[in-house]
Amino acid sequence: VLHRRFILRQIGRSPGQSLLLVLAVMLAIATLTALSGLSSTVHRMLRLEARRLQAADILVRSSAPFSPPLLAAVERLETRGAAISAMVHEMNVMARRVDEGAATLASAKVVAPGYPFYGEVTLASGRALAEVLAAGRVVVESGLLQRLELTVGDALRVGDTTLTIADVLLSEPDRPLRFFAPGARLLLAAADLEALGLVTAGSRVRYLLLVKVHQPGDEEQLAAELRAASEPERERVDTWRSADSGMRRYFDNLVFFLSLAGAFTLVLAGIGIASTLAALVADKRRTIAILKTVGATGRFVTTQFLVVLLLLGLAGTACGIALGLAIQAALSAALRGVLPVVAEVTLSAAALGSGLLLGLTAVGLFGCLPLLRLHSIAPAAILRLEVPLPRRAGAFHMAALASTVLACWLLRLSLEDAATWIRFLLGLGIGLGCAALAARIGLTALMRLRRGPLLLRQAVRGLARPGGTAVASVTSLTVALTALLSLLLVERELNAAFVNAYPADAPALFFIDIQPHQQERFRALVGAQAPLYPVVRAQVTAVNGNPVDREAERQRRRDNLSRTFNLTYRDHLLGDEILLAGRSLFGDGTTAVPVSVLDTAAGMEAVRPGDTIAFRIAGLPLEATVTSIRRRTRQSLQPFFYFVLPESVIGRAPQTLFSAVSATGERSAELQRRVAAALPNVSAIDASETARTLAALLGKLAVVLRLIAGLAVVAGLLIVVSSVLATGAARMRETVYYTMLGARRRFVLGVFALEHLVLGTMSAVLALGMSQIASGVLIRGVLDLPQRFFVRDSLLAAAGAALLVTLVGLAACWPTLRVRPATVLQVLSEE
Amino acid sequence: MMRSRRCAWIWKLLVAAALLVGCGDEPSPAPRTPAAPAARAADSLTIVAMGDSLTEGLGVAEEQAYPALLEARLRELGYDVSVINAGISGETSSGALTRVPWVLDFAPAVVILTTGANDGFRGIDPSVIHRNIDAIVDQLQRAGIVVVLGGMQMSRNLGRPYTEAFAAVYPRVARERGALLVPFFLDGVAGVPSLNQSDGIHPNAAGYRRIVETVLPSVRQALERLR
Repeated sequence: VLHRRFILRQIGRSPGQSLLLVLAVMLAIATLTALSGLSSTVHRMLRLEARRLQAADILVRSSAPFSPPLLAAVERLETRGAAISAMVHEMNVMARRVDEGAATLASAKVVAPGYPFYGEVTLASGRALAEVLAAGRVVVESGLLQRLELTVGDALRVGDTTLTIADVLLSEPDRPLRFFAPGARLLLAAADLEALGLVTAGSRVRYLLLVKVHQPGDEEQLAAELRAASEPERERVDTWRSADSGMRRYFDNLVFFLSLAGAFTLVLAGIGIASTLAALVADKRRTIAILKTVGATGRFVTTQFLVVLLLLGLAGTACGIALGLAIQAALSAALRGVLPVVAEVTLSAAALGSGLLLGLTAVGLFGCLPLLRLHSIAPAAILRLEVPLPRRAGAFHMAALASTVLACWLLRLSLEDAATWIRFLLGLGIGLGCAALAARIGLTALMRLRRGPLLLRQAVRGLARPGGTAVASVTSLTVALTALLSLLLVERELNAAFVNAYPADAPALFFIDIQPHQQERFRALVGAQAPLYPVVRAQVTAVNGNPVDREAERQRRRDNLSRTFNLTYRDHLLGDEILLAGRSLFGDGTTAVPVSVLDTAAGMEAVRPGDTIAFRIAGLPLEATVTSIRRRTRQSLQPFFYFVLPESVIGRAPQTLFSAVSATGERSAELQRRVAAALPNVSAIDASETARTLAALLGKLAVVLRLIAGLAVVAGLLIVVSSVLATGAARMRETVYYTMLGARRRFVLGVFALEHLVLGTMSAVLALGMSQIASGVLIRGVLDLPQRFFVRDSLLAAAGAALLVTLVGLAACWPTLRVRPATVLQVLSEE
Repeated sequence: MMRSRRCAWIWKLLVAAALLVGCGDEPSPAPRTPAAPAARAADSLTIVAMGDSLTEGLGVAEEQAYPALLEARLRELGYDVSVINAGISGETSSGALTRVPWVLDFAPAVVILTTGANDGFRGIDPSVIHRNIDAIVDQLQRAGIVVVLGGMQMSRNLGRPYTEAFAAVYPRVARERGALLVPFFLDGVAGVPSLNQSDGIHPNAAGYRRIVETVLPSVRQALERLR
């Protein structure tokens, strides 16, 4: 039977603790709701960006004309209204002035009407491509105009036909992010394909078939139909999911980070609700004992208090949903124009369900369990100062098991991948165990403190008071801070590896095939500071004496040893390189022919220091011993080399030089013109458009990354604050004792400050170490990125966390310092 | 077999030594002098196959690329020759010109020169290609080497003016320098899917067997000239 007055009175008797519980639940639910909305926005954005990067839902590629069965399959899709398609031909062409003057290599793209299905081609005039591109007209990049000294409206000779330059191309959505080819882009209409006379036997053409599906979600099924009709040897069918746009790794990492933030938020929320619930139940233990003394049954007490907890939990959930929706609305307004999709305000059933389940689990684990333990409490316990908990009953174990299973299942919803979920649970278990053990050891060591100022000794004694929760507090704080620090470290790593790796002023103009004797002339043309990288071409013929099977290597989808590699010589690491193995690039100098290998290449054959690699350089064999393994610390457009040898070994081998220059727009065109005139053998590759596309995309993703991390961290901190407040508020009795014994307020304040400083520092130090391990596992193991330790930032974050715990703890104790001892004694005696 | 293994071992030692000895601090375009080619040339005539990825055999095993197949074929025909694969994938005619001294260090009697395809893919002016190939042939011939020039053609998508000018480079140099000409190095191979790798550019093992038959008459002619 529910006793309404009793329930309401219990809520009213502990307003602070009740409010904190509502706050903790509210924050948890609000964060989960907001993250769920953000997750939906991010997934929509990534889907859109992935589609834009290939301008279609399905992309079919071939280096030869498409086979009749494939074309028939496409026609069938169009006939039944499932999709539409557009054919694209890509090829290198020579673009000439009509006066038979200058000619230059260009990268032509002949597009059918409808192109692009996603994203847009931006033209200098601001008009749509469909308005501009028609038979007899061509759209060109400004680099080509500058190179041939032409303007819009002039005629341009391409193949067997003459076209009118209709506009200047600024960007195209599906330019491959690995587009590194000499020659400016030309966009031509499919209607001119025949007149060009360039697609014929003996031509080198890239055939693309863009397909847009009418029913979203059909792409996988339709792609399977096309795949079944294709010639797998030469025709490749990809959906936006399977195509490797060059950004896929980043997209995958971002999605993983999102789920990680969700999982960590769940853990933080669990800890926050647990702490506030535990504090509330502890606050009611004496009341429960008194009730039972006056005849209340265990069932009555448990039922009433369970309803108290559920009511508070429901209030928190309702407020949390409202706050979560408000955060979503605020984000939606803030992100308008920043992200390519409108962030919708949605309350997904999944978010609501997981929020309610979280509340239930937390109430089950951290509210119901203590209540069940109090179920059979002896009334005589009221006579003792601290109420010891009775032995655990069967119902307790059942409830504990059910709650744990529910909590694990909740995490499973957040982490979609089963393997990651298991690893996460394992990591969480190990983390909890380690934190608890370390907290116990640390606190035990502190207890042995016999000397030192009275303030410090009192603070340490305070932590060891009977029935105290110091170990539990340090454990939960450590796990919470570990989650927060790990999240921050992973976010920093993703930013460093991708977003910051493509600065706006990064060199994006590359010159290749500079001959050694042209070095000085090249520098005179481009600038004395232009870096020159020697390139020695070589094949790997054997590893550890085992000949490389080129045929087998070629079958591998990923980079392999069948190709020819660029070797270089230098004696130092580049700014974006670190050593994974080996003490220096070339060891201690005793190796006759040392070679430093990039981890990507080392991974092809699991090469380690001490192994041998046989190269063939222009007819000469060379066997080198691996002295170090290098890793690039970030993705970038910077040149990198798989194999580095000393200059003394390959300095005189046949070589060319490569340069990367920072120049855009008119300056880039001017440099290209100058070099082409003086050194006609040197080819220029202008990757500035690729760099711009990358920078724009990464800029959007960086916003998302910061939002996810910010949301999770702010909410996490607030949850930590609420749990510290909850435990700190239980200090009233100690304050009274100190005051009664004649202690001044300043002394009491000092004791509490030190107590929380010890708790906070211990948790922060433990979290600092554990977060480095946890983030290391995530960064190296899951994201496959090199780990940076961000020492300064980590130390600052840990110090900040310790300070925050101290200040919040003090704030929690502050009201009790102002209470007169007589008032408290009166309250206690009333109880 | 034993002999070839021993030769390979000595070869490696000599090469490593040659790479380590005599290298100053200043990088120089002049290559070091490997002692190995001379040792090898003592008992057989050396032919150097100089060129790009088509010579190097990108994507196929070294023994499937045309230099190794040609050596075997010539030995079958009774010629005591060794063919060195001095192909460098991605090399242009400018790179080939720069490394002529490196090739001369092999002390070859015959050089089969097949270069220019990468120039074509980059749209390099055919006059530049002509100048480079002409200079290479000149330098080789001055060293008393018989040159077999492998003619190339460029893909049709570059348009008639370019492909015609490009294809004309090889017969012109051969005519002007008196070099032996293989009219089209990829004759019967280019554009045939069964003789090429999936990229449609590089020959597979079967393609290289066809190429050997294409270059063989000119190489035999070169060897006859030496007699």
